[in-house]
Amino acid sequence: MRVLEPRSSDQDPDLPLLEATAAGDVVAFRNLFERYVDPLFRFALSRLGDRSLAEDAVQETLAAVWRGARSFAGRSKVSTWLYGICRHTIAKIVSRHRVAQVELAGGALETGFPAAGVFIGCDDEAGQIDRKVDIEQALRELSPQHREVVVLAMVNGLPLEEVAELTEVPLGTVKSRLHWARIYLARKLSDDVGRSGLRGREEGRWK
Amino acid sequence: MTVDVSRQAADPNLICQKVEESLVEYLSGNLEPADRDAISTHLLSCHACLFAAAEVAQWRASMRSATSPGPEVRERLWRAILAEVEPSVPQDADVRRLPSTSGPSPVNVPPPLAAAGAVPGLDLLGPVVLWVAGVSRLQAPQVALALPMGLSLDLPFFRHR
Ligand SMILES: [Zn+2]
Repeated sequence: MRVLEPRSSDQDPDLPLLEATAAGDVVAFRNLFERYVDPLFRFALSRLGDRSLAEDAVQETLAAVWRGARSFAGRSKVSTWLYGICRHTIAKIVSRHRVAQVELAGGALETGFPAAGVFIGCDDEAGQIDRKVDIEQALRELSPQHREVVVLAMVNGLPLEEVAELTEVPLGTVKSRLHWARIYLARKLSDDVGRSGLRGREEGRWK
Repeated sequence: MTVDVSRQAADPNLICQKVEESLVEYLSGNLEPADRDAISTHLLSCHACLFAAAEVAQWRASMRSATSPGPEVRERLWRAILAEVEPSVPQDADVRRLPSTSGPSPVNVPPPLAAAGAVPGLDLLGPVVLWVAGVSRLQAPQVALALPMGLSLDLPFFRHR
């Protein structure tokens, strides 16, 4: 039985939007914007650690997409192309603002992840505050490489193959980073609720 | 990767390990239907993996919320981008009639996911949609009972059977 293969046969839902954008269709461009503004912002924030710089990165990226839509060669998915432009833009901003040292330093980093106004997933207010602090703390403490994979794969939902292509590391490395990030997050975030999947395992399987 | 997650496989721990390794791709809707269905089936019979799935889904929702640009930044970005590309925008383009950022997502995203932010690939939805209490109603009580407080789990795959 063949299972756990990534799906590959789907049409790229962004291609018609990009083609229309290339033809000067502003509504199609707006649709692309709607689909990517949040994911690209999260990606940029995870790399730059500053909301204002992340905003700059998204602006430069999507303006470049409008101007360069005709140059899309179709060698990758549209999303990979968009993220690639964003990654390039982030690199330019990193050198422009001399934040490269921060990215290279590794370890505990100030990522600038903001406090979420409404922290969904909790019922009581005290719980909300604790969990909000926890998740920001946990993200900060991930290395830049692990944080990048977490944001691209776990938060933005990119297929792991696409993450590997984008971050220019082997698929196995992406899987390994995601695996360790998941274990780290489980240890970091699950103590207060006592429901870690890892500990659930020790408690035995559901009958 | 070729792994057997069917009930016939010998080692339950190995199955659970493989399922856990695939949870992120599963929740993102990035697996082939057969793989997705196999994991859905496993989740209904394995407490530990179901908890793990709920956990990953909750982290995702929390991180999305914490790293969202927010409506003001979205609107500012759109205006800034339009201003930057204006010379090449057709003169007859009436941007005031464009869909609002707070309106429905222009591409078909299922409502619970649209609430968490439009994300590429999510319109090709996987079977488990998890969001939080107060936002959703429980569709599968026997599953919901197994979940921690504040979480609910919707399994459209099973609902449609
Ligand atoms: Zn299991």
